[in-house]
Amino acid sequence: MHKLKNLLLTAGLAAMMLPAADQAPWEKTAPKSLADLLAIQEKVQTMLDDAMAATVTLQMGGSSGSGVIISDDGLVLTAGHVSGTPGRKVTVVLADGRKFEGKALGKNKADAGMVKILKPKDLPTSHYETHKTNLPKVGQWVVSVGNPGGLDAKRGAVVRLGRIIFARPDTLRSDCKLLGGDSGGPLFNLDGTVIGIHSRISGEPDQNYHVSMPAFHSDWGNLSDPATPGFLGVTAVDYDEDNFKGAELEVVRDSSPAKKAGLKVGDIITMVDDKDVKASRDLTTFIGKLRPGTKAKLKLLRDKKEMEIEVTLGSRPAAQPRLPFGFPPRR
Amino acid sequence: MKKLFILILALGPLHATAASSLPSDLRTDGKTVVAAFSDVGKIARSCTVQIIYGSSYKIAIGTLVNDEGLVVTKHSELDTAKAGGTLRISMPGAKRYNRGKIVAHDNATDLVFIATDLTRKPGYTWAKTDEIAPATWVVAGVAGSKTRPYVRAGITSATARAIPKTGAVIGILMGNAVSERKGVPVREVTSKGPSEKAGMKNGDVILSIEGEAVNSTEELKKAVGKHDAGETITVVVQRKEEQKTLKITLGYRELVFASLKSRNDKLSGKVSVRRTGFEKVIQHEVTLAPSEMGGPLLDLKGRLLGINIARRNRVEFFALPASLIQKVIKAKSAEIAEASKDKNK
Repeated sequence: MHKLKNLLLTAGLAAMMLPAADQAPWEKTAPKSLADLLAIQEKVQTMLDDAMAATVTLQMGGSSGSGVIISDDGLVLTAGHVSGTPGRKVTVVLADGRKFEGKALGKNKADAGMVKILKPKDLPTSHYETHKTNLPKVGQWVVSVGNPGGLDAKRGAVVRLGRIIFARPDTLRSDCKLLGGDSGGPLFNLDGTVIGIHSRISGEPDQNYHVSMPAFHSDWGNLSDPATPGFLGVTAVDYDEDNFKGAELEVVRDSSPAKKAGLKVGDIITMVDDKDVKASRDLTTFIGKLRPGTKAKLKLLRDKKEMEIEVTLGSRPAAQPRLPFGFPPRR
Repeated sequence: MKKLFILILALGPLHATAASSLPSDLRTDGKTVVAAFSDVGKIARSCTVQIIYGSSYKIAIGTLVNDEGLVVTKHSELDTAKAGGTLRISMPGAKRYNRGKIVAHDNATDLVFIATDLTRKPGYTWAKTDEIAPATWVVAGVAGSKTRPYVRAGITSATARAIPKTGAVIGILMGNAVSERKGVPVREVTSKGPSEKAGMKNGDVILSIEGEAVNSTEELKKAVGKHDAGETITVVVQRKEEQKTLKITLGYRELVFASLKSRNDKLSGKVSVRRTGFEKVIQHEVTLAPSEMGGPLLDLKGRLLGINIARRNRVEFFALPASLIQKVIKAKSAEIAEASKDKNK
């Protein structure tokens, strides 16, 4: 027993000390000397050219943000508040000056967003963390690239060095200094792999937030191919009388799918396909789950008579562009 | 049971670091990381000075550029401080306060030269090139103390380049000039703007800028446009029966008029009174206040890469490259020598 204990103790100590002897300068708790610092510098400068080449400026109307190309076919990772409404037009400006037309794909609550370059050609790309749940370590050195203040062709993207302050499943915090316009730009590890996307800047220059890669992976399908919800074009209120429940139409928009199908104000919708509608939000939910172009069978009550109307759903007309660059939604 | 205990002990500390956040000492600007730069720190201390008016008003940092006590710093910071009292220079290990005398300045680079009695030899060598690769460690000399480090570190963050001049204004809304009368009337003095600070009043009529008569809004704009933000110009106005001479320090259009201020500028705190109009700058990310301009920017080998010249916003900082500094010193050497003769008077 005594022997075993000693053995374990020795093994434990060895396990704790071994890494220290073998550690690369950038893996140490802190650099100890100029030699350590130079090694970190060399490591950063080795990955930098590729990292800078794949970092892009995204322009949407008058606002701008940053992003990073991760595939030959033109998939760009960015922040959700930069890409904005799925489907909106985005101009993608590369570090080499080339401009591509792009389209906003999906975004999610963690502020992850994607943009697609429509006609990709000879794109520089960056590696990204493909493991679905990997988070960087606290204290890990990271390189931040982005375009603070928007595109500046003579300056190019701006590079900053920092360390991970904390890493939570959706959000990373680092001491890389960021400003508006950096949003959507990539956070790299020293191997040049994208491990986060700049999201929120804080009042302190050196305490900023990044979307983690797991926040992208957990939602990849929705982000890369956002489901466009079906659109009926009505406003409804809850109907509840004598235990009879449904959604009563208050507004039927002009030239909407609802109007075309002959729906009228005052109609009480009771079913969408085979699902009961007990309140107005049920109508919103069920229609939203269907795709534009699909046909929905609506059961309704008009002048106390039951009716059935088939409607071909459309898609929501484009919303007005909103939100300036760089400033994420409050949560 | 004992086995279990040992295992927990071994895993304990690792687990704790994984869950918590990085202690401030270990952050990029933290004490422990900055300590790794101590060899460069010694060189920074051999050439970094604090520039003070009177006994305590800290204006800027300066860089010792030769062993005859010549100090260089940012002109517009010194000029806009407008503090009375003696200009003094303080340096660790030297006599507490040395007197300084302004001996020359250069508008193009926004540098000013101060002659002092310091006899120390600066420990750096001048960098031979301005082409510093992005992501090169740089160390800025600042005013330290026993508890605060004498240097701050970061990396170069973009290619060295020119920063074009941007619009400087005196901060007024102009009225229409009346052809039979001289000057340009002032319709409204912008609140907290350069003209208000200099004592301009609504209804004043601007007669001249730096001795040049202005009789139309175009002439006024042109006369102001010749100057940079941070520069102090002489403006003569007619106020009722009397003429008044005002000294106005120009500001940037996008900062003087509150409605033009960008969100990034609002988030950046105080920025340099002059942050554009430089022939060439090295851009870095070392956080410095406007009052910390003028100090040295060194690399890990102790070479002087340049002198810090502007805080553009909270992530972009500019240094004038060494070659440009040397060029100005050479161009101004006769003027400096002449004015330094009686530096103790």
